[in-house]
Amino acid sequence: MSIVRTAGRARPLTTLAAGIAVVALTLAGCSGRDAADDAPAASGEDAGDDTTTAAAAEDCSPGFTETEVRIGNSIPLSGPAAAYGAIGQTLQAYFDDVNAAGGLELADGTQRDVSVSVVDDGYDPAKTAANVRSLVEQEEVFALAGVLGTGAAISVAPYVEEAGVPNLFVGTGTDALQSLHAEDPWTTGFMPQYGFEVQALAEYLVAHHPGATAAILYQNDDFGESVRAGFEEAFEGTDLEIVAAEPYELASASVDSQVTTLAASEADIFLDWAVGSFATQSLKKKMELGWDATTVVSAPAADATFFLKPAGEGAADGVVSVAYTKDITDPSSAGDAGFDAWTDFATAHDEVDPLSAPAAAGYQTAQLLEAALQQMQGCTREALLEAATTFEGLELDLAPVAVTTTPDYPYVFREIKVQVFNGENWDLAEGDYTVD
Amino acid sequence: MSTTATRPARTSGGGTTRRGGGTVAEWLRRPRPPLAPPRWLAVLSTVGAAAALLVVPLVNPSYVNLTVTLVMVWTIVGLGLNLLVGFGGQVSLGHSAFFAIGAYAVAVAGEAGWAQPAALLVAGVVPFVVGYAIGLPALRLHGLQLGLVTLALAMATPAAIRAFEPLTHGSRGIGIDGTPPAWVPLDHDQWVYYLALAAASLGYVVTRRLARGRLGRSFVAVRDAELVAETLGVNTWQTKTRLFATSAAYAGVAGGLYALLLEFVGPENFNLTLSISFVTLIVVGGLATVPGAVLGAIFVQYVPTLTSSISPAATGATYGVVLILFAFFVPHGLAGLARAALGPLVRRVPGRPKA
Repeated sequence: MSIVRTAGRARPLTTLAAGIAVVALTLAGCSGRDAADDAPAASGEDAGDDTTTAAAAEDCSPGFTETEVRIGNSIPLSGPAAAYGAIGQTLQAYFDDVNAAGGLELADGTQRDVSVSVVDDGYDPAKTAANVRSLVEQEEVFALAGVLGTGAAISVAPYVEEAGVPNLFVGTGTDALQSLHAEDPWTTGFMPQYGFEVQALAEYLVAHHPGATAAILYQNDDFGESVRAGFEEAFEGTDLEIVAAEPYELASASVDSQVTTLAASEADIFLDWAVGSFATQSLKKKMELGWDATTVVSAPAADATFFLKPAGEGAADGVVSVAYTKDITDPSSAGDAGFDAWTDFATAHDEVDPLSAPAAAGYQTAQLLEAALQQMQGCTREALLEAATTFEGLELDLAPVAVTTTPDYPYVFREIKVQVFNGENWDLAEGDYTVD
Repeated sequence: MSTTATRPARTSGGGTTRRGGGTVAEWLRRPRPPLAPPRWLAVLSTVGAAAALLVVPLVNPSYVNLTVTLVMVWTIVGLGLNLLVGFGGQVSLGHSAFFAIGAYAVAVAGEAGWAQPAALLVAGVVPFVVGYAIGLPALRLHGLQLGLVTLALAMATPAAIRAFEPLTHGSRGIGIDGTPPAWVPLDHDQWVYYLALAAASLGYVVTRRLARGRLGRSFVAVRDAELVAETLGVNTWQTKTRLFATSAAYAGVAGGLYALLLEFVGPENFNLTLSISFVTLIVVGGLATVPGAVLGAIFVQYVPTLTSSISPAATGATYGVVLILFAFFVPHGLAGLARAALGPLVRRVPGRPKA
């Protein structure tokens, strides 16, 4: 159409004609959406009615039929964050197994297939937005699960709220979900809330390192600032004290100079909030300098294979972090029923790497969703959201603590453990930490 | 259109079919005049296209509107970038920076409680000023050096966003309220669609005027023969700087619409990949053609999604392969192909041809 339009020079006649068309259509159009608005919802219900006979009275949400529940997932399968695509692939593989075994028995006693659509967004928020809309409107999914990223969660929040679609177990722990929660309860986060992580670690440090001094390395932005403020607040009134603080830029080449400055403070605890390869660098530098301090790292950096072991032999010994997934890289976990179930599942699927942290996260997401679907009373999206936010002591194969959720707290983990790295694997520390 | 206006068409039978002789490669590389349909057809197709575009958001679900709106957003960027690269001959790999400035202008203005149209205006003005300031020194450079400076601009964008943290909230990003004003009886997706349609149509008309008028000819003169242009009284440096700033303003407005559409901006939205998709857009669409921006925008919006549904591994490779193929074999882009395919048909349509 545009090709032909090329030729049309903006002549008076053209302009006039176009202008008339604009006015006419705008007038005609203002009322046009109402009809169109109802159409998808109506057709969704029709589709439900065709297959549902008994449940028809109960007005099921789109994506829920007598034989099937449809779930959507948008995740980076390509691009720099493609490694996280394992979350979606594992989610799909898990429910493929469930379906092969005859489906999932829901509260009404009927077995249904759970079909999972995984679409690639390349970690591009524009693609995530488009994917989520087409999953909801075109594929008519019942709910979304395991979508990745803070930006993705926040940017689709107004949409899922308006459409009334649960966006469950999003791969983020951003504190923004909490503030969003009052007006938009439809989004829940899979990772422990970042503020809760700080609180749990501070409690651990107060109990295990009385009278210690701490030095903190943090990102020079408001996420880093909030971590620093969180620790300062938590240490207030205790005998712990932050004696040195160094920010670093995400765009910088190394954090060596910051670590050197912090080491000069001779603090007993190193709060290392560097992300990704910066975490590896800081551990390496710390060992070079011979700085003898207990290092604490953030959950995303607590990946033994990618970030800790590459720092070199002994560099990561004694590193502390929060634990919300069992250590899947530790062969000595064999014998633990949950760990064995995971290993059996992963070895049965080529696309699931038994040592991959994102795959384990996908496995946990799948089990959370499975439990929510099973506990759901009725067949509406509201019922699913309610089920997902009222878990009581739910045991997951890979979670070190049972999961309890409440409708007023939009994250899966209200309770976590703390773990210590022994150079090869993680050891769980005694005690649970509960959100304030 | 200006391809033929500025470079003498090498073949007299500009739009003949493949039977006209030569290999397929030659046929693809042959420059062609713009389509010249009779007046009635031009009017009819313009009205038809306008009507279709106006109805789209009213009859479609929001996921369709979202992608069509994104096509218009990319079109606006493409129009501006094509003005700079296609007509002006200046390379820019840094337009994601101006796109980001526009997006953040809308986000920050929205936080300050500004109305959306006013925020969009700011989204055009700020990049214009920044583009002018950057263009002043940078455009004294040529070719590769200019490419490198603008590349640095694109790479520095996410870091710069984090550095201006009090304004941009760093890596946490800003949520934007994209809901239409109370007096507009439209949904969010429809409202942003019409804003984008208005901006894209305006951009389209303005670009065509610029490309055909005195300014357009001076752009092309600067591109093809800088010395000659200078002796003829064209202030080449001034022309280039204004062109750069104008092109930045296009990207800024597009960025502003993008922010309103997605209702969230964060530093990770504006990386180098975005700039690369902009360059792919104008090369695939057709350099120095106005409708090429539309075709290129359709390409960058839909083709990567299509290839990734076939194989996720293919997504990254698509841009590279397509860029190389087009640079070698289809230098006039999709717009050139469209002329080749439709030219013979349009010539057969009866009616008084345009002047």
